[in-house]
Amino acid sequence: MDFEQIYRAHYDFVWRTLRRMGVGERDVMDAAQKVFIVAHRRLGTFDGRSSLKTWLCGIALRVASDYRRSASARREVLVAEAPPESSLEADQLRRLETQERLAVLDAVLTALPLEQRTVFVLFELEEVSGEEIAELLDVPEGTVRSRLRLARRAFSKIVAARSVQTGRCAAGGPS
Amino acid sequence: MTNTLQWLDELPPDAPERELLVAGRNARPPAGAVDAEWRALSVALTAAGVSSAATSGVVANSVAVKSASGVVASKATVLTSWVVAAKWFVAGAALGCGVAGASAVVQHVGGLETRPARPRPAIPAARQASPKMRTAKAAAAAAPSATGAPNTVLEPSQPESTSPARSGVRSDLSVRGEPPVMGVPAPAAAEFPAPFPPAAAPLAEQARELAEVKRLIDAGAANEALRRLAATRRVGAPFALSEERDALYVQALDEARRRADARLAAREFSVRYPRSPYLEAMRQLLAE
Repeated sequence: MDFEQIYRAHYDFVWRTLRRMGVGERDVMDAAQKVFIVAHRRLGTFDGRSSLKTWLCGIALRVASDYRRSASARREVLVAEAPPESSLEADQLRRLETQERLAVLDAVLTALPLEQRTVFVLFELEEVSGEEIAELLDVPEGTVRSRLRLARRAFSKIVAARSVQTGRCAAGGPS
Repeated sequence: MTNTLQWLDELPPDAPERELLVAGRNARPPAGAVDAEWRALSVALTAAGVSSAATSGVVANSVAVKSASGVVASKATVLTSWVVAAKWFVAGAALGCGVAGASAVVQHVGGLETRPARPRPAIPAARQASPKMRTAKAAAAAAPSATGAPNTVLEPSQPESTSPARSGVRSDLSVRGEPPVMGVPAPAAAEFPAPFPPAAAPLAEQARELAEVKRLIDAGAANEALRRLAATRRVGAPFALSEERDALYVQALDEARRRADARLAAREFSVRYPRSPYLEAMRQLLAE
């Protein structure tokens, strides 16, 4: 397997992980490049104890962490500027809906504590196993389980709160 | 953890969390992004002298380590990889390292066609560029591109006062400077106009710069290449491809027949990047 194959096989996963871990849309391409540059430089040290996906995931988490740290002064404000509905095709509408859901998902994830967010993203969205997450984060599996439980609870609470808020706005009540 | 099911399998069908999870799982980069980004990345990696062919040797190397065949085998593979990389370079210059090719990649990557159709996010007032930065950016935009007219950066006779970007950029040099290029005293500021704005240049731009440097080295203009490399340092902005840049720097010194400097730089490189895939070439240089 050459490096291009590794790149192509894992690019989507790296891209998604970066986005869900807080890398903004305008930075995600650059961040993904950084992940693969680091991977390229360090491939010789990859010992195969974990899967390549887990190894790349570790790099992606570090790159995302760097981006979050440097992004405080330049945080993106995502403003959905929807075109008039009459000009929207069904496909565009569907894409817009998906984008809105992703924006909500990111907002909810951002509200989670970082440790819970990391476990949640890896387990629920990227389907990384609990064992691999524990190894990646260097914590016991029980800790991963409890973080996941807390993350789910918080996730539901935030989604419910947002629904209520949206309902109030739609009804013209106080938000 | 083995008993923990995915939440998606447990949530009721009408749960609002479900659609968010599904959207998150199905999210993909914009169409064409993977190819475009790969082209940009391969330019960067090729510029530094390691091709995908060489990298495959490194991957095989990793597997060899996993199967406990030993460090000796791994070093031999890396050595072989470097030879392959050197050969590959000859073809690489024609394939993708040229300025036109790199620039096309940059334009493709930088272009909006690879970006999602989502409207660009609004930029808060605090993020707006300072007047100094705007001046630098405007001047940079006005400068001839690598695909068109000759790059003024490479023309020392260009009067400095004619380029507002340079004065704007240079005034920021001392703020966030990286250490000087390995083993060589920093040149005078007036000698090397800066090709980058002080903010971190996009990776594609950095890759283009390194590709240009590589082209200069291959064309026998090693001193010019050294000047450009020094300029990327002088700007002081973070340079994500610093390892590749420093590897090229050693190569440029060697090509310029500054063997003592090259050996010193190679030694510093091996200290700074002890796990670099380019290390074997540095070791060879030191051994000569």
